[in-house]
Amino acid sequence: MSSRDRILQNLQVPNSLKKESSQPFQDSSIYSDYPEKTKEELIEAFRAHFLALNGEFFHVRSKEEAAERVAELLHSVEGNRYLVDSNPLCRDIFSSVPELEKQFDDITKTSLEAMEFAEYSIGLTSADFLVARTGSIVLRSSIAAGRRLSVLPPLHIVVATVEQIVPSLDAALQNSEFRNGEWSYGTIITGPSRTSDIEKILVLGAHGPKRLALILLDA
Amino acid sequence: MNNYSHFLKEAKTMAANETHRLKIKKAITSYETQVAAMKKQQFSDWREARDVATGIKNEVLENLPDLLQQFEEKLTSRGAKVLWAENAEQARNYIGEIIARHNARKVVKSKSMTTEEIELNEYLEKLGIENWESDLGELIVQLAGEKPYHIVTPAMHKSKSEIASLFVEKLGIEYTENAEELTMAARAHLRKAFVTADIGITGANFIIADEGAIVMTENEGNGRLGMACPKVHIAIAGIEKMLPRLADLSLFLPLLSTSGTGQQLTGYNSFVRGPQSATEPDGPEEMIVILLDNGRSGIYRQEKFQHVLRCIRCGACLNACPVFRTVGGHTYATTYQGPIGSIITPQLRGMGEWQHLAHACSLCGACTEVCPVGIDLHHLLLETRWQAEQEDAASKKWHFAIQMWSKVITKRKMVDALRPLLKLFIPVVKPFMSANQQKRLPEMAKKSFAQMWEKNEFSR
Amino acid sequence: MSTQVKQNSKVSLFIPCLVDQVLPEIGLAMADLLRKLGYEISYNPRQTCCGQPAFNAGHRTEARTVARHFLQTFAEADYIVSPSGSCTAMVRNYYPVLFAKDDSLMTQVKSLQKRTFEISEFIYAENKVDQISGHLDLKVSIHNSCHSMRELGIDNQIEEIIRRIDGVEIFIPQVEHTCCGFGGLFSYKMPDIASAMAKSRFEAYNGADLDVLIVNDPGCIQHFRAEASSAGFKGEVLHLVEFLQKAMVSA
Repeated sequence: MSSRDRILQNLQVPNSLKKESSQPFQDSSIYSDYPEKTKEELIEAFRAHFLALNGEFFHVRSKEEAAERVAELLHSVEGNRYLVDSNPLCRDIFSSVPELEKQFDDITKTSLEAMEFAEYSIGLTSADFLVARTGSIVLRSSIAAGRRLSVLPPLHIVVATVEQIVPSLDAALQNSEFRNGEWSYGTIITGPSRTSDIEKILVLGAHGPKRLALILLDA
Repeated sequence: MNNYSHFLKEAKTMAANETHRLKIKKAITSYETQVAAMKKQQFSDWREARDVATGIKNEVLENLPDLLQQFEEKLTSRGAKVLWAENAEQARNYIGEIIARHNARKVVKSKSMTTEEIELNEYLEKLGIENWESDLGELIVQLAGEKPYHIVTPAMHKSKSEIASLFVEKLGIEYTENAEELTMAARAHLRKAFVTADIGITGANFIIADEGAIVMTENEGNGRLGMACPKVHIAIAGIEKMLPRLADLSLFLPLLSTSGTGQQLTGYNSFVRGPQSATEPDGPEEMIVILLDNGRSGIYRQEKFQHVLRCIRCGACLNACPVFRTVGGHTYATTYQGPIGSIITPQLRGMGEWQHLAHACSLCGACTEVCPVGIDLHHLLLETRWQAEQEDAASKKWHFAIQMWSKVITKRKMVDALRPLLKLFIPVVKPFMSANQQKRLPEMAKKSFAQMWEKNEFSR
Repeated sequence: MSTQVKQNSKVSLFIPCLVDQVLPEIGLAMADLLRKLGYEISYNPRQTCCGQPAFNAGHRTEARTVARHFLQTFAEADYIVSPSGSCTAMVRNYYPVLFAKDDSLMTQVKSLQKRTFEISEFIYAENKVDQISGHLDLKVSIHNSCHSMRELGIDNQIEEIIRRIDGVEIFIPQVEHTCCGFGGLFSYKMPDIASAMAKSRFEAYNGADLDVLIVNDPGCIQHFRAEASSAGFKGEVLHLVEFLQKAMVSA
């Protein structure tokens, strides 16, 4: 008998247990901010949480304005190598400022060994969802060009639209479009990398990005 | 020295260690303030959230074999491997085989109590593998040559100055007590590890049946890096880490972070459902999940103890426990400290060797009060005491004393007749007791209440 | 449990072993208080102990022996009132565990559960809080025992009773509801931990300059008193009923 079968056999408990299946967890009044809010309230809730987590928040009206913010962020870091994922939203923003686009290396066209990857100071990605309740950014490897782009560079810039804001985590996790498709990795990012392992003192940038910036575009 | 004597000796030292007490008090006070605020901010009724979570975890227990198979099927369909380990040795051997197959020299680990449980660090050291703990707290205890002090906060017992001296010695930095500078030193030190490691080893906070995914909760990003850079990712998870559905995370992630650290959500909650897919630019070529039993199925088969497998390892019971706060994490000499550790260690590692932990408890119930999945912790400690006695693993000396006592105490006449004798007896045994025991020898009243009542000696 | 008790019924004193043997003045003070509140009280001297010391230490066979004796002693009693949250919890919450497999005794246990009260809980259930009055110019703090709070659900009942006494200033420590370190045989098996826990608990009253620490469990009282001097605590440690006895006399 294999170890697998032995473990499964050891977990069979005759009669004392009944098989039950409950419903998946649904957002409910357990949470103090339930029920849902208006679009404006969601944006405001997201903004407040994101800022409280030391995120850098930019609400922009146009893709030109978005490009301006990206350009400003480039000036705020040391180093001059920036990586971007070639997603439609990024393309759209860059389309108005071709100069800006040239400053970025396209990750899908660059095969990078980890050592070289680590020299990039900015990773620019899009996202799947923004969660209003917690100020979190949800993204999958399929939309953020893999696993490294959103964690290895010291500054992670996310571009997203207000349409992507959802009230709660379960709205994202129960979305079937989100769950389908070929992807191996997803993450819920709630603020920049942080630690409190030394005497409970909060320090940003433990191993992941020290800075997390969100450029939120009105649709 | 047996485990019990060792425990008592360490407990005595720690109980007198004022520096330790103040350090832990400071850390836990800060934790409690944050947790209280977050519970209030986030949940309209925290107890209701706890009850719903408890229900979902009960469902897991009721269906565990099916859920494990569902998890395996889903995950392997995306090219990951699932290995089943009955015990620690088998889990270690699996890892040894993977290391050998890849000719790996360098491993980067993220914080995982399950790897502590199987003593992976010691094993990797024997194999001569370069092994980097990447969580800051874990790095600190690794550099200090210690075990984690606390399942969530491994370096809770270390002050800034101790960490500074340690980093000066081991990482060659300039002395600084600035937490940010110390953190940056660790960041610089480990960057290299992430980009050059052959294998990333992580634990898992949850495993999800319907999605075939493992979930990793962390704040630093070291876990994400360990799952992104190396070519091989090994995740090791206790079989009880199961949740039926991905959507259940929308309760369990906030619950875990609120109880664990007082955060609304932990910085990064990542779910991995396989190795790099064909359409992705990076990620491990190989992903292996080791499902660890190591005594858990033994707990599962016991009706009274089964529900302890609801535990999500948030550490809240440790922080709430006045015994933990007094003796500190290392005194337990176990992987899992505090109330939860005192229940599962005798079950996982042997009643005879570990039942004393169940007695390191004043039954105050603070642990049960804070548990986010409704584990009846202090009552299970009581059950453990009784189980130890049934298995003949409990102290014979105390049992004999209680047997004698029960014969006397059920007879009023004998109780009152023996009072004068007890008064004589106490001064005789007193010199054989420690100062703290002597202090609490009761001073027998001149007459018992019953005697006073009989003689009508009470005020009217 | 907030079952309404019949007015002017007979109350049977449930005197814990520790009170019987070491702290009888607590039993007398409780009898005194109940009389002042208009009860006819009785005491069956055959009672000795509820069995908790054995139960908590894991010796359930012996605990059953002692508990059976307790059941016999109180079979006839109307209402049973105890100055200990912990002993009340033993009867109410743990007897069902002890006798789970014994149907005939379970019937007795169930009947006993409904009739057994901790003193502050009893005063509440009986709506007697208003009858408490007195005067004491003292600064006090309250230690609600763990079992009273977490097993019986007694919350701020004690505080509300104390507030009936004029002149009393109640100090609320920042850290509330932490165990004193008694824990029955725990404090004898692991005396160093128990002492350190008491010390931490006393620390919560540092600088408050308390006259009295009011406690509702003889176990905690015994432990606090043993540790007070080494922890540098200058006040008195009194049971709620002792405190009320003082206050209602001086009124």
